[in-house]
Amino acid sequence: MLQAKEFLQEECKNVELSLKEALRYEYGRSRSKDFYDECTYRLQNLKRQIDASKASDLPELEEYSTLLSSLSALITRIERSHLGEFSWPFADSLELLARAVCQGVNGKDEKYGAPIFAISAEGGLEAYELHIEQGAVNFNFKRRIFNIVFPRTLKHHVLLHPILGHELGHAATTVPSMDDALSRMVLTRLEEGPLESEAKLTSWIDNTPTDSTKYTADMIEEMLYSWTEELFCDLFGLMLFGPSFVAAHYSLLSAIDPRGFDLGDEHPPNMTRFDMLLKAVEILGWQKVPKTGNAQLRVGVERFWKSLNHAPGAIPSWATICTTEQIQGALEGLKSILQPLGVAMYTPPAKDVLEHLVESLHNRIPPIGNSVKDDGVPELTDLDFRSILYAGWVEWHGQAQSVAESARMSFSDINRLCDRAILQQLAIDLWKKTGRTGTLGAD
Amino acid sequence: MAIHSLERRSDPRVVCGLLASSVLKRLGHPGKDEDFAVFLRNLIRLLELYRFGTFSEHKHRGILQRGPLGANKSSDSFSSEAMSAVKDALEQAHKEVFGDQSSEYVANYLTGIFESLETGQHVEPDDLELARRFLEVLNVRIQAQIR
Repeated sequence: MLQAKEFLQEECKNVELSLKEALRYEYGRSRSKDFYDECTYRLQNLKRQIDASKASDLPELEEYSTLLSSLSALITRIERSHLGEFSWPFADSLELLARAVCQGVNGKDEKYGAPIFAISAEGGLEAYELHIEQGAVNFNFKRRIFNIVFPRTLKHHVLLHPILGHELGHAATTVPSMDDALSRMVLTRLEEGPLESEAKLTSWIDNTPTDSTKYTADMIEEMLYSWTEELFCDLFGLMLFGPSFVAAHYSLLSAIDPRGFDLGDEHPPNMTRFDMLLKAVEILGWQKVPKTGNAQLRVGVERFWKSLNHAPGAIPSWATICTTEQIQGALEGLKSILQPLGVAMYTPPAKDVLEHLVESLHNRIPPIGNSVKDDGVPELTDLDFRSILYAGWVEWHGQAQSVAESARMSFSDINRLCDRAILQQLAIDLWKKTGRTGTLGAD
Repeated sequence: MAIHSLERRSDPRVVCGLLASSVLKRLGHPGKDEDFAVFLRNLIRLLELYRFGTFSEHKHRGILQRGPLGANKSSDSFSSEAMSAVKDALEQAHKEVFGDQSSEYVANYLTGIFESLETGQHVEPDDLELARRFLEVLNVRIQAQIR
């Protein structure tokens, strides 16, 4: 028999071995070093704490056991998810956004510091997640580790990955200054109306096709808190990723619950979420079809938004939980928080940029920021990866109008081109950061 | 079926107690100690939670994960009680050592001291004494809450 302390000392050695084994794989950029250093420190710290503990320090031993177990699980998840198991160009781009929103209201919270983002891939569609370490505070955290999880089967489907914008909303609330600002400026707006109290929510449920008697008082209390946070995270994802978030959100949530009526105690019904997002998009003016002679772009944008507005099973009137005024207030709050954080908030691409990207895709070329100047010299330009994703969705809807069915690209083809484009754009950004002018051959 | 049916979660009371007692032990013994710096950093983070009053132990499922009703509460009674105990202990230490000062003042004041200690800068004896008293009260109050 092993005493708790003896077992933990033995397990520390095992976790150390698995951490070393994790180094066999390639993980990309500097992420693996930061991750390795943080895990190594935590493990060494735990060893010291366990060695110094008494066998009778039961609550402390229990805490060490919990932390060691979490560390072991995290290392194992990351060890199995090396490069090639997910779209690392998307992961790198996502990380830039995540860094901006997970460091408090000033974008550089010195008290919490920059988190480490560890990426893994898991089975199942529902794998999309951002594991947030329980409690931002512990005794041996130098930096926080956020584990972003992609579904393994969708590794190249970057057009669906903007759904992770929702998860970044949860992550942002783990920093007190951000949590405080978001509560005051965004969540309070959503808490008006049915989400104001248990009684109002119960009466809202009474007007849905669901039998409200199956929900206990505890469940309603849970719904009140969770639904508000889930709706907030949807708006957060929208403001980070733009139209591609709406498309990914609709595609994936509809796949999980095609009727959209399911009232869970944690997630509001899909219909309620679609209703809120479409109202938000209208407020933001993103549905406007660009005035352009380029029929391909015009039709693509038109069909993209039409597909969301006229989805199978139009949104019923009972689904509304937030009024347009509430949503407008919440969006204004979000804008004032996200705008100072630089890269965080989505900005729609200029018409000619979107036109260029859609045309590239149409010609089966990865849509990147490039052009050929009048003198024939190719030029590389800055481009936000979220514009690539929007272009991908526009092309997916637009090609159905202009291309014979047999010659159309599959959804997977478009995703792969966008995945490749994000990779190439990262290379362009890196090249330009080194002081190059952006004109090939000029220096 | 899992052998251990409960999901294991960190106990904020134990974490708070470990932080307070570990820093107290090292307060009179300055020197290069990486663990001391990390304990101080986490204590500063704890004070940030106190400053903004954003204590919560909610967990959430991934956006596409679904489960039966009532199966996965985002806030269980254990977590809520544990976080309340940490908050209460901080409030008691605040009141006993700093009286009617605001939580923002207390968080700023202590953070300044802990940051100086973290970077090896000099701290005035009076300031150090106040920080020590705060941690002592915090430690006594939180230890009383641990099972």
